[in-house]
Amino acid sequence: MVDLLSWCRWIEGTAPAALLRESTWLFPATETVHLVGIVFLVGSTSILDLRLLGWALAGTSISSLTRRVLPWAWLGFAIQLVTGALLFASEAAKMYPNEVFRLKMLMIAAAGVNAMLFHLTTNRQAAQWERNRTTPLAAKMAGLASIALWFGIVIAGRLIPYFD
Amino acid sequence: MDHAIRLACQWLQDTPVGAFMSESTWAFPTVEALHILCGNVPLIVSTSILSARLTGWGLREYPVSTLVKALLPWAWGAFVIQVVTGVLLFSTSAPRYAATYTFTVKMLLILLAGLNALVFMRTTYRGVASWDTAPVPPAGARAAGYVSILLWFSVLVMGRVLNTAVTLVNLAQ
Repeated sequence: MVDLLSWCRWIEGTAPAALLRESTWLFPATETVHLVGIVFLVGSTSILDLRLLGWALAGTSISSLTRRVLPWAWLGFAIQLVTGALLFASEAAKMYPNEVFRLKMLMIAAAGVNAMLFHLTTNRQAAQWERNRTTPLAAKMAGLASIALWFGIVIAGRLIPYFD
Repeated sequence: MDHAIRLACQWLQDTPVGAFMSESTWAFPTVEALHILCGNVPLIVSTSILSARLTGWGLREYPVSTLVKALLPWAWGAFVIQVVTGVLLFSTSAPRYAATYTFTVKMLLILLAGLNALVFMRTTYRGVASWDTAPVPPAGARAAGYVSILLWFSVLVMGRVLNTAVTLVNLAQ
């Protein structure tokens, strides 16, 4: 088994991690870009989730909405991955045992699995219902799970520093 | 800082709500997350979608008035949530927040963003019927779109600067 903690210690010692940790403004600056990433990522997934739940954009074709929204979601995810990795690296050994951090990572994985499952199952038959005002139960569940998970992820992110 | 403002900030911090917000471990980060999720995200997303259309950058197949009607309730709802959660966050150390220049700048930027929207709705948008489906709206609308994006993202950045500034002051105490 790979020793994750010593890997965390190693990453903490790299130059970018040290730079982020030692500078007063670099960490909050990276955090700000991470926040812009939230707007892109959670904003675009929520638009789709609200459509799946039937709470907004009723009647809009889901496949055309997905085509429109997905590039923004991926852009947001890329920003989150890069800025998140930098923030993590700056205090990796401290983050590793942090339970809220672990919960956040699990929820991100769950959000990914949820999106993939929806894409591979319910969305396959989307042609039959994608313009309907009321969506199938499975689509509603996927939308609700996605919104709930992203809320959990952002709340956990804010809580991390309070659970050292 | 003006004496009356300082007194008002101190009063806010001493209210039961202010006391709860600063004493609880969970309250600040949770309200902060809601400030981001239910305020920041819908406010910036809805204004940015509209700005994209107003600048002629995208969504050209939709009439401007359709987008305004669909997005304005979201922007207003988000703004109300921003104000409520913002006041709650502010109440944790009201005098300290109010004493920073960053706070003044952030409030001024929000005011400017509101003013920009108001001026647009009262002037250029009055004549929307004549350019509703135009791929590229008139200069006044394009300017309002660019200014809106610039201001709302600046407000977001100032929010983080403000948080950092107050955290540094708190650490120094």
